[in-house]
Amino acid sequence: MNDPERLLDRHDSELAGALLRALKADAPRADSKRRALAAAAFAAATAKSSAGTAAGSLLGSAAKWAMVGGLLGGTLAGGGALLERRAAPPPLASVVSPAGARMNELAQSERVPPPSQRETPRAQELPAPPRPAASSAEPGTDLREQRLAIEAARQELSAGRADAALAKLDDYRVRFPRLAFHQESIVLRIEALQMRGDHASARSLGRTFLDANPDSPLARRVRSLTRLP
Amino acid sequence: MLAESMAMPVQPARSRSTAGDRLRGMVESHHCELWRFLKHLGLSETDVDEAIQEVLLVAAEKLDAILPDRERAFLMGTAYRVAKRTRGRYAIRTQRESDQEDFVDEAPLPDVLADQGRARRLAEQVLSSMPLELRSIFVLYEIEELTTAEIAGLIGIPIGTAASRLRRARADFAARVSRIDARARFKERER
Repeated sequence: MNDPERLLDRHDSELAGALLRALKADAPRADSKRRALAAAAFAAATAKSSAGTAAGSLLGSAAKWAMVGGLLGGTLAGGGALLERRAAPPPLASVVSPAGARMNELAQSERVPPPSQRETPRAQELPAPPRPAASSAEPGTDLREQRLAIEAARQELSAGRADAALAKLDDYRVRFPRLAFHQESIVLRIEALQMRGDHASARSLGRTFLDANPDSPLARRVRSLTRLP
Repeated sequence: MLAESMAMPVQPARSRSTAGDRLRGMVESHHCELWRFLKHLGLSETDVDEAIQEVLLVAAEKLDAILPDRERAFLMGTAYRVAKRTRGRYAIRTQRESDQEDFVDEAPLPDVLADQGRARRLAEQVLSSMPLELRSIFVLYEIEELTTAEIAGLIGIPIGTAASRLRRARADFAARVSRIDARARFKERER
């Protein structure tokens, strides 16, 4: 079967040609590629170390969600936490550089300090940081449960139940020792507060989030939700 | 026997650095087109980055089964599936953002033709008004220059269906551009 001549080669319409040329010239910013390279390093490390075992399948899935909620959501703390809990994987920085090093650097920089270190009233508006849990779950199970907890909050939000979503997010904070989806949970909280009509709290939380994480990929979403600059 | 001969070669062991290098190479070679494809499917730039990272996770899991000359097809096909899911996930936000950023370019046609940024925004508006099944095939064929056979394999539809969808997509795009063109020329005459 012969393919038709492409529209750009046909010169049927000056406007169509200009639009198609503009679309072809569209290109990502450099930071997008940098993030992709970091993601590739993380994905390669996690895929390899979880391959070949039944637990690996679960861990692979958990790693994916940790990355989706952490790295994809703007914090690498989730991915970092996952790697730390694994049985002696090499640090990412030794696997690939400089992307791996950048990931570790980000993972360190994006962890929220404990309340005692937060002095400004604004910072205290952030939800409490991860706290030790009564029981320590197996890593894959823990991450899976974290994902389910976040999904449960998201579903409440989708159903228009802001109070229930906030309750689920509160529950998420107290249940897990390390929050793999910390930033994601804050953004969901902002959405829930907005939905409930508590715009002042949402903006306040949004401002705190942006102060702490100005370069997070979720920052744009927070700005969009709160109309903050 | 046939099944054995068709099976993908499975490498017994691969080092992290090999997997990392290969994935890195895939990003270096295909990130731009992957990004462009996802963006033209209607994802925001933030969602595009997230989707690419999901694609890479899938690629990492299946790395041994991806033939070297099929890397691009694998990435684009996975991106298509991830995008369909991601669009659903962020539908509300995307709508809200598009409400805020909605605009109608009233600039004279020569200005649009001369300004690539303006042309791109107008093109994105045209694409976003097309149904997803037509938009995806249009972008893959006209922008990414895949063949209909490649597109069929990538989306998982028969070649005849791909060809027929492409015809509809091109007609849809041409009709929309033609309307914009006519409206712009009418306004120019009024000025």
